[in-house]
Amino acid sequence: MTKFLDWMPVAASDYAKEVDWINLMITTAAALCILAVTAAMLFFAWIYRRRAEREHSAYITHNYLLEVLWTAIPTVVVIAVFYFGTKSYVAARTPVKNALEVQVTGYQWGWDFLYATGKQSTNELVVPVNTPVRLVLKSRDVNHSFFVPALRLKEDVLAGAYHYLWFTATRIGEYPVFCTEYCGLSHAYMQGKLRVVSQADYASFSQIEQTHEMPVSEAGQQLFAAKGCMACHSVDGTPRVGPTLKAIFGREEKLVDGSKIVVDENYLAESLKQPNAKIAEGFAPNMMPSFEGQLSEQELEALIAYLKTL
Amino acid sequence: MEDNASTIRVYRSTLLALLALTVLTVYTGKFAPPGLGSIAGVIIIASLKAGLVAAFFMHLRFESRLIIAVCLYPLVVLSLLIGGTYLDVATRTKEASPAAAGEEQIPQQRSGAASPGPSH
Amino acid sequence: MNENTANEPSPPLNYLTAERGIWSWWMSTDHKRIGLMYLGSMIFFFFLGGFIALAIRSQLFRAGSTLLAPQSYNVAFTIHGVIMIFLFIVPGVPATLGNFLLPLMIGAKDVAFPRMNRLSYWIYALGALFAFGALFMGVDTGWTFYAPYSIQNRWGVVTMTLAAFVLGFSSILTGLNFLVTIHKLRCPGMSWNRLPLFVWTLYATAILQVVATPVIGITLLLLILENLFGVGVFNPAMGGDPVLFQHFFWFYSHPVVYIMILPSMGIISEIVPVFSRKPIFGYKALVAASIGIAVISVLVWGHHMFVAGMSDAARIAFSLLTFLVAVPTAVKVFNWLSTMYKGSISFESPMLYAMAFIFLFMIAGTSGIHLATLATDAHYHDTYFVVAHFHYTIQGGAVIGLYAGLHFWFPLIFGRVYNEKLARLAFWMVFIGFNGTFLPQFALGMEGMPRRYFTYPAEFEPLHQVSTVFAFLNGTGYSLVLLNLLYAAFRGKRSPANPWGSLGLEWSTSLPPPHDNFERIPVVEDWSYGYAQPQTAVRLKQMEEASRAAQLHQGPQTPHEGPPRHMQPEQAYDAAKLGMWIFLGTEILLFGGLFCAYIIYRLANLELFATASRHLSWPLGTLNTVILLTSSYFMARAVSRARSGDNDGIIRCLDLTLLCALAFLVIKGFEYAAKFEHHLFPPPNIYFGLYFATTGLHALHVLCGMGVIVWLRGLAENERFSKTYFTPVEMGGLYWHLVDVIWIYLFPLLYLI
Repeated sequence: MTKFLDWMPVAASDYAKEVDWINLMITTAAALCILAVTAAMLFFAWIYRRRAEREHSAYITHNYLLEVLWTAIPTVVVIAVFYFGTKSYVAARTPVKNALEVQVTGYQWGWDFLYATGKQSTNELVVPVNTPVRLVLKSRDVNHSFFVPALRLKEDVLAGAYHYLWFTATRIGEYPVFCTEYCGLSHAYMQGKLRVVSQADYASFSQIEQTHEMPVSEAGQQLFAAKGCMACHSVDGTPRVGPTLKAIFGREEKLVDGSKIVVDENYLAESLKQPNAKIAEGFAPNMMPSFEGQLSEQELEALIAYLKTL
Repeated sequence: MEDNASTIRVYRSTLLALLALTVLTVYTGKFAPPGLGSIAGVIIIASLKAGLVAAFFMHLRFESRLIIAVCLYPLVVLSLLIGGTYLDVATRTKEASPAAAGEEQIPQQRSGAASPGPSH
Repeated sequence: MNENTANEPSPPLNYLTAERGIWSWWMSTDHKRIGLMYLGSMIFFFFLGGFIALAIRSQLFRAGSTLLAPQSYNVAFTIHGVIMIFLFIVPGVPATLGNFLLPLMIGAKDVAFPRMNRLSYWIYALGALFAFGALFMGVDTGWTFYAPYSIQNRWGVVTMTLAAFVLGFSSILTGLNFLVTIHKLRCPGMSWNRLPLFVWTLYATAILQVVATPVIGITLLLLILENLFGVGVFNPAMGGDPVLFQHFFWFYSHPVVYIMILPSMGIISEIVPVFSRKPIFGYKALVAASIGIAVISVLVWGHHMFVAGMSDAARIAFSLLTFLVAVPTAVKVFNWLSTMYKGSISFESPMLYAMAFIFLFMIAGTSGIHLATLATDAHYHDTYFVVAHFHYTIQGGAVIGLYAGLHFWFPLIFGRVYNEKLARLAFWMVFIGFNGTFLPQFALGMEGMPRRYFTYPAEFEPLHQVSTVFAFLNGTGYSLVLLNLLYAAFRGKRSPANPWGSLGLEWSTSLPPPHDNFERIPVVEDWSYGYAQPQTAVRLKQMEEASRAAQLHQGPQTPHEGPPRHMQPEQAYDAAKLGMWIFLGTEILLFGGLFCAYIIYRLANLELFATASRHLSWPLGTLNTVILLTSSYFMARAVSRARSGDNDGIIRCLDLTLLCALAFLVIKGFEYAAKFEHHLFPPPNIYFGLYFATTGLHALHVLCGMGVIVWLRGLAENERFSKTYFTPVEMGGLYWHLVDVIWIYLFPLLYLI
């Protein structure tokens, strides 16, 4: 009977193994029911097949005891299945404290992962083995769904609300990730990979590269992505919640109070630390969060260097 | 039940009661201290008014149990819809509630000009 | 070609031959003709949807196949779902076999509202037209239209959801008609505990049709408004909740699957006793199970949303309730089996289909357990496991049941017999093809193969290939069924009376039945499952004689206009009143959806709603309330005048009602104009989205009400009403009062708090 489980992908966590056990239990019960009913039906069909045109059949209309029995027993069985299925699932919905958190952003058509260290990856989620990991899921556009068959887990990824999944992977390896909520043309290509690595490998993976190893503007570009600036500021000219940053440096900007300024390093730094100080005309106050204290001077410089390249 | 003086009287009294309740509704909603009490109040008064219209104008008070059941069952089903959705929304963690989560604004292209996927 | 058996008189006038010409069919109010027209349309859509399915399966034969372009595939699976669900299986058994058989089974001459029945079909045709148009507009949202993907201003989505909305309306009218028919038109002796089980399932289905469909109605309407005007109720950018869309959508779409399956279960309950020559086992239990399924099915919709973002408490609650719905289904299966016990069983094609149903539904139902269980559903949701599950329930269940019924009642419907050998061959092709197509898909789901993918990783290929090959066998089987039955319908040998030896009342009239079903309303003395008794043979002989005699009955053969003549005036009045109250119930649920959205969003946005509502002029709102209440008063007076046969009095009171209605709309117009001036349309937030949706829909109903009043007024001018006939006025009055009641709730919720 456990051969049935061969259809399931390899189990990458203990929870997955638990789900498999529940799956096996349900399937076994189901198979027994189907077999019993089919066997009874075929048996009756054979033994009571009409042998002559005028043949006796029994006038039986009901049996209350049978009705009670075959109502009560299935009820008990389904309640039992409900109990086991819920108990395990509730554990899967209750994240362990201090789990490693990864922000997952689904979009048409890929996955972006942002690790606690500021490291980013696209379409490949790297997690350490035997460590509780909590995914915080959000969509940039339409509904998606983050599915890892090896973990037996999925959760929809919506705009406007954070959803979460948590797990502890127990097996090093690579596992497919699928989007399982139709999201448009390339829904079928919105696939990713879950890579479970040793804790040491994860530590080196998640380290953000030192800015002196790459051009400052490139470090700035990474920060730009990591801090989520794209959500409100486009780089291609499209106005969003905030002004577009295309060709921002050196641009003459009109402010809400009517005055005009030329965008320079100071203006950019001030906007990052005190966003409400000088707001461009046509945009609302209290929209942009302040990054005061969140960016080191080095990171500030990197960002500004990047913005100069737009 | 023909139209006679008593019928007209019933209808007139019903209309007067409805108008009076309307005044009460406006007072409860607009002039009484706002809060859960006034909200509950206006809903209760509205239900009273609806009940009067149903019982007297729609003659529900003369109808069979079948008709009354037909009238009530959709209300039961409606309360299931409201109850079920409310059960979900009310017990969500902050993380998954509508409109309550996230400082970050998710920009949407409203006029469909640059929306992904085909538009017609 | 010898069409007649010896000793048969020349072909009599029956419902098929009573009138000729396409126009007579299109205008027919005969439930039998309407049932056939539905059948013809639906079979067309079944094969269209099936053809698309084969295209889908062909694309999936190879990983990385380029047979269909990606977007074509996405459109294809959407169209397949929409056609199969809204155009085929939702009208399904009720619109075809239900329409045809219901009056015959309860000894009536037609349904309660034959002209509404005709309207039902016309509305279906209109919906089909819209759907056809939408076919070419590239809709790829899936039949589930999830927001926000479906609210990106696409005309294709608008057209397709409009089609579904219109088709839903058709479904509501059918359900309404059946409910009133079953309550009011049962012949003498046809008590509730003698009602055939097929009728009981139609009853349970009709209840679901009228309470669940309005909710999808309002959901689709809101979707259309979002696409056209940015109403924003489900748009996350405006604070809308996509999960709320799913709640509303599945609140209907779960009961709809029971609308699909219940009548097919009823068919099985009819077939098994006949072919086992034994009474149905556990009649009361089967009735209770049917009603139980109808009631519980409204409680479980959240099981489609376990991973959508509902709270954990909601997930657990819906899981528990879902398990409960499995029990009545199991009870039915056991009762069917027990019917076979100690019977005398023969295996003509209807019985083969019935037994296949039992086997396939066991697989369907038990696979549902995997999905009801939270732990396993997190793996299986949106994978091919679900695809397999619902094809087993719908195709293996509902469709097989439909085909069982078509084979069983074929001699009654057409007066001819089909080729049994061919029928059995086709059955086996369908059965083997079906299982071969969908059994592998359970395994694909286990492997993690997602739904709605036009391509997939190579390791999924072998199972896909098996599935595709058998899908073609399945399609070939259905084609053979169609050819067999189509040929037999026109050229088959004439059927002897009551060929299956059934005690069902429908078999006691001629094959095919005459236009008005029975020469005299029958009087029933026993239930229709009294097999295996000494008097059974006698009863069967009596039925055969009655059937042959009915062939000579020439009675009224042509449809007519005017109030239904097959009912006494008192009966007609009662029926109309019951029907109108049921209709009002659907309106309550239509608006109820909006009230639900209002409540949910208000609780999440208390300040927004409180501030935004100050934009509304409460004095104008109060004035409108007074006006509408007064209009109800005048309407009640109009009904009173009608009961006295005072046509002039009616006109006076209706005029006053009309005046009030007009005043209401004028004031509403002022209010809207003010909103447009303040740039509050398109709505900038959810409050105004709901405001316009709710008051707009209400104003539409006021307009419709005015139309009804004008029509009544016209009838009164022609002195049509009297002390014995005033039904239309009273029914119009009920509708108008409901419009008032809705405003009674709208006013405080929008204007005052």
